[in-house]
Amino acid sequence: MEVNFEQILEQSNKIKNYIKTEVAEFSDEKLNWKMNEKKWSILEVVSHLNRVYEKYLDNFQLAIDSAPELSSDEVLEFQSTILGRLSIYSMRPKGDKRRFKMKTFDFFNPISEPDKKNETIDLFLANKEAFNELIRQARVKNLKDIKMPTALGERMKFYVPECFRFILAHEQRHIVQIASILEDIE
Amino acid sequence: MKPEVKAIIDSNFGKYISISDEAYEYLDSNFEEREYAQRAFLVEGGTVAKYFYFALSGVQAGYLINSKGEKVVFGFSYKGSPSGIYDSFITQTPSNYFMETLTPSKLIGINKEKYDQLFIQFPEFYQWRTHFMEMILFGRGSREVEMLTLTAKERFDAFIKRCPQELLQIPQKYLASYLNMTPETLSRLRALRD
Repeated sequence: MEVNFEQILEQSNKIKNYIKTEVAEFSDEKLNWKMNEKKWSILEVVSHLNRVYEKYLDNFQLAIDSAPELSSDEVLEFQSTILGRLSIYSMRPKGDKRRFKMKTFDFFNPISEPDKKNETIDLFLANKEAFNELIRQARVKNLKDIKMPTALGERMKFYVPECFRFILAHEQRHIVQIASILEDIE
Repeated sequence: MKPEVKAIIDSNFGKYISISDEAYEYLDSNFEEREYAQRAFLVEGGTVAKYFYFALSGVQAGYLINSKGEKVVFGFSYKGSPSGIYDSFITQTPSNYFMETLTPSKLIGINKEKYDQLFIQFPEFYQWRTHFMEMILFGRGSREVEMLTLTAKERFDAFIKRCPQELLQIPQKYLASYLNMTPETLSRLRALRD
């Protein structure tokens, strides 16, 4: 199966639109509301997504830079690892349900900065645009057999398109989480 | 005004209305020339189409990603034709479609604000707009009829008859998708013809 970068990009753009046009307009009260101390606020969810980008953006760039150009008659076949498939499957929400409970790594824990609404959201939008730009760059590269490190452990390397999908599945999971926080507020 | 820009303005707007000197000047200063490499996006799915274009060179394809994740091509633009994703441009809402350059391309594009202003400042351009809408409607209509009534071979023959030569140079899978056939069928039909 051919890698569908356009689909990856379109899904990524949709998340960006949601944060930019809806979440950015929420009141401070809504953004910082918590069900209880153990749960995250919406702003903390966004902060968590930023921390993930901090960890991954450079790794994507290194992997993409190391790949040769794709000649115009070549297509890149989708490659996946067993753990990659499993990780994407378990991350990706089904409809509005997050199927498997997960705990984040400590280094991905959000920084709680209730007064830094604009900074947090602007940083997310900048990270998102950097991520989208990486997808655009990757489309014209021959990424066959190129793997990149993940945060899941030293030996857990994913193929680049697979890792795009993994990050998106993770983000979609947290968009569902934002929806459920909004439900709890009401 | 560059001759190639004047030519495209005359063949599109000038075909239906007479363009005053002031209007020429307005068009010349508000249509910006843009160059794109091969495989660049003029419009990305999920983003707002910023420009309405005319193509000066190259071939561009419009497509969407269906629920199976496949690219479905619904049209092309090429030298002399309008380009972009018109519905997203007009409504300024995120596009469900992509517009991508299949070959290195040069286009001129006008943004939404300047496009709207054109009709306020030069109302005669509404006549062009009416004709343009009719042209698009008739074009989509005849394509729909072709898709519903013609066999694969007839669709291919009808396409060959009306398409410019440069469209036959683009990757087979884009043409095949546009003609709603597999690349294998298209390649067989081409072989029979050549």
